[in-house]
Amino acid sequence: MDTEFVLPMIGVEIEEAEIRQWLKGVGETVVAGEPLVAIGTPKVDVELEAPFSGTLKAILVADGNIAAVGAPLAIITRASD
Amino acid sequence: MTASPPSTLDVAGHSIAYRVTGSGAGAAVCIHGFGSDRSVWSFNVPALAAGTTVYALDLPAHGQSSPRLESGSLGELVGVVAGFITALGLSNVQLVGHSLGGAIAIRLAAEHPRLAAALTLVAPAGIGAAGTADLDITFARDFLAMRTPAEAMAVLGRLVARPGQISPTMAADVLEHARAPAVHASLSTLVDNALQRDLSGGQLRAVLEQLAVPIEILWGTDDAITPAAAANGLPASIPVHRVSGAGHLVQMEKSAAVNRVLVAQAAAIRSG
Repeated sequence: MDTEFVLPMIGVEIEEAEIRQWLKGVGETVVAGEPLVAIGTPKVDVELEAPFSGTLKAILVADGNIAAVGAPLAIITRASD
Repeated sequence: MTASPPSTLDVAGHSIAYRVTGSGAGAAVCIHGFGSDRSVWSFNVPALAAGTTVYALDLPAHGQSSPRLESGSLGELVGVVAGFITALGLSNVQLVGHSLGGAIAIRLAAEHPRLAAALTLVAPAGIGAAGTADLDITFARDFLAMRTPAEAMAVLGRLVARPGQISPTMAADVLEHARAPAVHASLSTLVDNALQRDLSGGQLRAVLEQLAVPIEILWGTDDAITPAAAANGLPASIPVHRVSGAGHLVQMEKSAAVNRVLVAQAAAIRSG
């Protein structure tokens, strides 16, 4: 099943983040808990983990763009469905 | 999750700034480290606040709290945080401490056992076994000496596994705060007393091992400020979660790994 990977609520007072770099490409397998994307916040750059395992189907917010908390960043086809 | 506006509380003449997030049954008090402020927990508070009321405070001379310190000793900071918890009417809290804040949590739990239900220690200072380096005091000295944004970027870069992770905005904010004369004077006494005299020789190892509350320790394997080897040789009753690819700011660098431990410990306290 295709599932949206959204920008989670990563921090108090943080409402948006810049996508620095996708660490996986479209078509690649992602494993829950593995770093998926590096994002920039006002203080530090951090890596977000894949929340579930599957295949990265589409990247919706490309490197260098800003996304709001809750915005879909990518679509992952879940492994177990 | 609900986050209240920042508040202040008068504790023994100090104006302590803090923020309450969440409304869960348990309470957690988050204590940052030297030269930092409560925003160091910003990636952890949302997860923890899902089931716990989280109080993140600024220590004296840090963040938005008042700058004055008397002796700058570890004991003074322990007294302030204990007074903060008591003034809020809290007891049996989850003490979450980073670096110097971890040392404060250990001493607080030993001196005020009624206040602490559990400790979550992130790269705590002062627990090294004999012969191991507890903390890199040159980092604190270099922190005091930084004068330009470039120097601040270089010094703060030592906090993380990948130096480019620190944003220029963060470096500029930290530098501006640390250079304010009243803050700088207090931070200097903290380095001489709390860090160098009270903590740089494993003074809290025995205190930690004798605590009766559940304790979880988290450490970045690439920590250059308080090396993770300080946790070697702890008894099995004190689990140490080593997080690879992270430095001293592991709770920001690898927040998901830290949050799993924080949240599990909070749930264990609630289920009692």
